[in-house]
Amino acid sequence: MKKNVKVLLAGLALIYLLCMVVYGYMHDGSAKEERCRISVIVYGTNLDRWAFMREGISQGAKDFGAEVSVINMSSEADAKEQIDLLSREIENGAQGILMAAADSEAVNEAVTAATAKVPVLMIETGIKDSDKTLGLLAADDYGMGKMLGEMVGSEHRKIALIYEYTERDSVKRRYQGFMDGVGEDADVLLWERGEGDFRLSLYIDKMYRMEGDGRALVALDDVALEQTLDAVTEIREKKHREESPEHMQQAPEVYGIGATDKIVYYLDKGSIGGLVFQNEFSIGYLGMEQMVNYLDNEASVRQMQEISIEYYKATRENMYDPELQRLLFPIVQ
Amino acid sequence: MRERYRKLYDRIMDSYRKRSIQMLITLSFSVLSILGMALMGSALYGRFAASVREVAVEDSKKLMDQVCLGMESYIRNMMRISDTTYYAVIKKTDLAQEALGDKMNLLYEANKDSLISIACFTESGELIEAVPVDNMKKGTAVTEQQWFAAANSKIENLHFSIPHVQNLFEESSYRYYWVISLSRVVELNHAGETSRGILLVDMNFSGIEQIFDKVNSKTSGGYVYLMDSEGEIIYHPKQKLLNTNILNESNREAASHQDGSYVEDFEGDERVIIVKSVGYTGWKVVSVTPSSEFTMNTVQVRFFAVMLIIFFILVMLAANVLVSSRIATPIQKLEKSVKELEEEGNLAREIYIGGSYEIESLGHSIQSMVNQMRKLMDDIVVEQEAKRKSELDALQSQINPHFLYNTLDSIVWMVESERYEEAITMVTSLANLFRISLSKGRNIIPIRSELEHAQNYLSIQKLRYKNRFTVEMDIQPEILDCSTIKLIVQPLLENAIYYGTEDGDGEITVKGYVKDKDIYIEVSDDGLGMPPETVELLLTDNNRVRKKGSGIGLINVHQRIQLYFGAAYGLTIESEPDEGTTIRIHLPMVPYTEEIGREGLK
Repeated sequence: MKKNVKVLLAGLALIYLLCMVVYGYMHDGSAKEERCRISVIVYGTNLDRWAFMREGISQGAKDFGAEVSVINMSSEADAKEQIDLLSREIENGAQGILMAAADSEAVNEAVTAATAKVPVLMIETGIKDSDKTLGLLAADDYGMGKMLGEMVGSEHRKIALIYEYTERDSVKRRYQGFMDGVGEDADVLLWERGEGDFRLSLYIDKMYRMEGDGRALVALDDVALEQTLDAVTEIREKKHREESPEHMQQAPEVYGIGATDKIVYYLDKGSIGGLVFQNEFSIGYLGMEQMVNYLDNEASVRQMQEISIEYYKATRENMYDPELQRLLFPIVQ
Repeated sequence: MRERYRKLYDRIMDSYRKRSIQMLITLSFSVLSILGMALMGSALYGRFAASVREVAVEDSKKLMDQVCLGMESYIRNMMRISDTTYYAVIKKTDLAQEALGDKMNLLYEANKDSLISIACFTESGELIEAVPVDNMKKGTAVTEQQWFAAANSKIENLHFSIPHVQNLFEESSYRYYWVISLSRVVELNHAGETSRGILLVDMNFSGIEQIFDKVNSKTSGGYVYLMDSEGEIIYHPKQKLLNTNILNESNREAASHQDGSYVEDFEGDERVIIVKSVGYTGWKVVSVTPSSEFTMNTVQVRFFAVMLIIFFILVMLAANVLVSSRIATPIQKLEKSVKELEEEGNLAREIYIGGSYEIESLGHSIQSMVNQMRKLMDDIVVEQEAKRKSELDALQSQINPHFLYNTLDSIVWMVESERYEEAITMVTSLANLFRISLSKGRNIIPIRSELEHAQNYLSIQKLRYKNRFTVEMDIQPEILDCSTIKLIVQPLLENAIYYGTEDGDGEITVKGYVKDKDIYIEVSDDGLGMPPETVELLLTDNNRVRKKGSGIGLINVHQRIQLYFGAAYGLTIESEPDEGTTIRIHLPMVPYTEEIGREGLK
């Protein structure tokens, strides 16, 4: 009997084990992972300017399983607003932040403080102490500037550079690159708005009338470039209406860094002599990948330096080449 | 090597044999059932995995078919628009007199959802007509565009382009359109003169995107993409990732395959690729399904199946143990009780009766055997006891004091009477008597010696009783050398003398003969005889008081004969009152040998 009792007990233990297994099996498939909540804070008022990057972000969200919200600002470069947005997002429960800094110096402290609470990854434009965050995911700004400089320098000697938004590190580095690339003997004027100057396009128009004749106009970022284009369109129309002074013979050629829809449109029209632009889709996609990886397991985070974001140059002649075409016209409407 | 295997095999077989019945049953049964279940389980699992794969591939194929249908309809649509524009509009229009615009507009309006524009150019790239917009971009080199060149190079055919951004017309907004251009060479009619032109139908690429989006949203790990006959990707759900080299695709590889499915190893993942051609264009729809899609479910099932099998194996083991113990335990109990019996030598021990029918029957048989053994042993003991007793008696009677006193008295009287001859005879006879009586302690002697003993006895008695009787011996010579136990004839003679010669003349006859291979010795007298009741009592009643005699008695003789030779032998008494009595000794015929004398019978 004793033996039988032992056998019976063993059998009962087995039944229990089996139930556990079945339970685990049934639950295994249905347990869904919690999706990470990530906030992307970008500078500027125009969300369209970030369209390509947002494509990358949403593709990344789908592929890596995250909930994303993209937030822009009501002003172009108000550091305080961006800091407020940052704290608001953290309070609202964001588990990770992707951020394009509006002002690399001014938001530096707030961002480095925030890294204690949530991981922050800088995209497109970093802060002064980007290494205190997860890193900066952007193309080589210096290189882009240099490439632009070389492109412009090969065609023009007299250049007017729109020196705006330099509170962003990215723009500053592009400037340095541009100056190195344009050549020693180039005559570069820096146009920077001062007190009393408001809209950039008006300012440019003003400056052009003052000293811009015969110069190529160069802008170092999307917004500046778009404003330059607006100004140039005005100038062209004026010329067309023959309101402009006679010595203004032809509309200036514009060069710049950036590739929004508007910019590409003008490139196609012939208003832009040459463009340099970075692959913002990659920035968005890889940024999501890095953040989700980091949130999932803190150990494996690739060094940001290892990821290179590509940048390209485009002119009216080559913009319809298959490779560039895909990058300049990213979205199927 | 083979030697080693054989040794191993032998070892296994030995250890197998030496195990108890329970272990044997349990082990064999368990091994067999485990093997059976494992085989069955793996066969079923294999079938299951195969069928899961089949189902998944079938599903993919169905999806592919759906996509292909959609694509074919899209392409057919495009072709129809182009055909209609050509045959119904361009061919029937004399460009000198009418414009193409209105009719083309109708066509455009009817197909606005899928069209971006319809345009007709001259051979040199000049725009004839275009809908909905017709202001061309400045500086567009129409003839250098791919669709134009391709149409020109293959004049008979329709030419489908890969997706591209339309680079023809002025746009007021910043919009751009991804299109698939369908171009063909057409015959233009200008006041009877024909010239060559190019008809361009630009289809909205988003149409293709929608077809694929619908399908790609359904599948989980796999996806479907579209490529041209050379492997150039037309649509891919992860197009932008491909562009930026974040992702790679095996489209070139797929292009080299015929329609059908194959398995490939791409960047470490195993995937099932299904290729299907779309009609007319040479485009191919490719479905990619990672093998993990199939195995995801099967891993779960495999795990579950393994756990289930383990569980059943364990249950089966338990059941085996239970069942085998039901069979084996009674056997073990039986074995144990027999062993105890053997070891203790205790025949009174109860044997276990129980278990299955055969075991119970075995138990019963063993028990009855034990009982029999016990009885036999008891019988032997009783027999030995009886033997001992009668031997003791016989021993006792070997030296009968009364007979001795009387004979010695007789000798004394004879010596006193100076009848020396008689005295010598008596002394000699007496000596002989006792010699044979003792017979060196042997129990078995030849009949010759027994009869000699009888003779000596008779001589003494004759002298004592003054020839009151006569003795006649009739012995067959062949019995003389056969075996007998001693002191069987003399007691009979003693009885014959005392009870058969009371009234003077008596005649005693001693006969010895062989009959039916047995020996008979008869001692007869013609005395008074006995009634039948007395005859019966003679051999049975041990407590009968002996009136006279040397002491041994017939019962003793009878018993001893039976003890030594068996129940078949012994004494028989025949008596007629007033006629006489015959006592017959029945013995087996056993020739006497030294050995028998020394060691006894059997």
